[in-house]
Amino acid sequence: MKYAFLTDNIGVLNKIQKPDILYFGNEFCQNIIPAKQHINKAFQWALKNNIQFVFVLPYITNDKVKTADSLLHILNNKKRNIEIVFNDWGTLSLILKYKNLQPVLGRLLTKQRKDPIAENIIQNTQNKIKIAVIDGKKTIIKAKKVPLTLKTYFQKSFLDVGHVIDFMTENNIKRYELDLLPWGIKIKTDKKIKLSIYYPYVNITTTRYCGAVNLKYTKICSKICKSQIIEAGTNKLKYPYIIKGNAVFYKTSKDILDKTVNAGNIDRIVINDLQTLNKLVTG
Amino acid sequence: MINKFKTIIGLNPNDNISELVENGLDEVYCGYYDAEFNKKWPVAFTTVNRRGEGVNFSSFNLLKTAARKLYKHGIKSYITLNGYYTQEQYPWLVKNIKKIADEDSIDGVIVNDIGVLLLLKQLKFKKNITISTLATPLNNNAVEFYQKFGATRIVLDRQLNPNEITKMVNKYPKLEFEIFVVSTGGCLFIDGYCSFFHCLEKTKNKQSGKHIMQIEKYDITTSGAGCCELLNNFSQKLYTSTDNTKHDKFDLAKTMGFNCNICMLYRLKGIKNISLKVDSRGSNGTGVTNISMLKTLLKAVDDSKSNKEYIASAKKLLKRFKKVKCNPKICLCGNL
Repeated sequence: MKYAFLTDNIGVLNKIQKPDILYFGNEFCQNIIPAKQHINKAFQWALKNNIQFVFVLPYITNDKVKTADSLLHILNNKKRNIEIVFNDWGTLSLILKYKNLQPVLGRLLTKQRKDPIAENIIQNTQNKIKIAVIDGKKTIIKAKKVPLTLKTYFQKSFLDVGHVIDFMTENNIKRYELDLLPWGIKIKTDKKIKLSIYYPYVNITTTRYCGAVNLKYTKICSKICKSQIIEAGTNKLKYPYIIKGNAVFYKTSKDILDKTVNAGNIDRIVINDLQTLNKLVTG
Repeated sequence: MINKFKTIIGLNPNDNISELVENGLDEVYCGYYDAEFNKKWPVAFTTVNRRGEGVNFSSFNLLKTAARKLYKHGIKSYITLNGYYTQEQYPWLVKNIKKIADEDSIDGVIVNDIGVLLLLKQLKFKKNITISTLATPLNNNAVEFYQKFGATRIVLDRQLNPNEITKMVNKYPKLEFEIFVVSTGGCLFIDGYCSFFHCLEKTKNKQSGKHIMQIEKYDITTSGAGCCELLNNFSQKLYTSTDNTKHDKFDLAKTMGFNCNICMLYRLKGIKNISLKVDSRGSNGTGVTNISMLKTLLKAVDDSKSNKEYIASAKKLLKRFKKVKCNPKICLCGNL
């Protein structure tokens, strides 16, 4: 098992325990794609420390296609095989132009069912009965059982369908990026495709209405992501929602990680939190 | 000049087809499931597409009957197969794609799963293929990626702004595009990148006595959707922030109105390869209300001599039809 660390902040690199792999970049926001001098610095840091370098791109609109392409061009010129995590299908064609770059299917494209509030429902562990007043009438609400096949559906994705695997390998995609799920993962790829698991923060969703989801209501990017984290549902939800920038997450536990990583083709843990990295790598 | 936007609405099983026909729409889109599918993957959990019970037809035959009625009036029907499908669902999928292919009244499918797109190719599917907004076609390269799968139309993401839209559609004049309009119950997140849980079930009264009622539901714990759960926590002030500066007070009512795209209609009026899609399934009002609102807005587009004049009319119409106000603070457009 290899440990990777995901960051878009060049400043933290001197504070971290050395991972096996550095994931540099951002998955969710094209306004904070790292500048080329930062990418060069991060690449040099990885090279110096004998650490594999992976570049991460967010989903991009036409305005940022040239920027992304120029960064890919720079990375291709490093004359090393560099993995590029992409999060929209348009970016794949940019990556495939460069012979030294290896596309990796980002976790926004791997399409898992991830919202933790589903946990008790799909596992039939919610309360069996609830009493409420509906339309002025006392109402007994009984929980309907869900079939086991639904839980399996929530553990899977479209990724391990035979012809999908063929398509991925034909397009040089040999790795899927996955989130860690409280109810487990059942994605069975063949040996051609390896799996990464992100830990501890699972991404649920993302938006371009960054100001609204952060309750700042600003329309222009004011880099809220650098100064604010909101946690919603603390003391109420088992997994509170965490908002950082334009994306919503929740935090998973080491127990879930331990249960998950022993299964399937998972050979990489991508740690998206500095403290967790330092704890895991030293531990 | 009367503009020629094609209008498309989501069809519900309870919609009155004659009323819809009278309102002069061009196309509908709708989904279905069947008992075999529902037993293994209850449709309430949005397993067949992004919609649940009540909004999807409960059998292919029911859908076919509606599609044939519409077909007689020259209205096309598209079927949403825009979920993500696992290997176990493929036998059902193959069987049902063949049914769709054989039914003359159905014009095509709406898809976003690469696996389904590959399957359509394998099955030599001859009808139209629309790429769902769930496929997040956000840039020209993505459009070209989906064209390779035989896409005849692309539904653009709700969070693209008018400049982004016009640049994309003008670049591909032979390809059709759809944009969502009028759906003022819209969502805060990007459809195709969102994995918030939704349990869209239609509760059935089991027993109803004089003083007590008994019902059965799959989900008796949550608000039925993760995004609602998040917003409820905001409105109940059950959140903490690492930033101590003052936040605006969260107002759920004010957040309704995302993605209505009404304010951009005048700017898009000369573009021939855009169709307007009304998401009238579920919480967004009935098809008739929405299509009639859209038609009125399009008349305002035609009658207006400038964008400013149109915006003034649209403001009034939004108030009349939806009783909501545009909120520029939370919309990427926010011009009303």
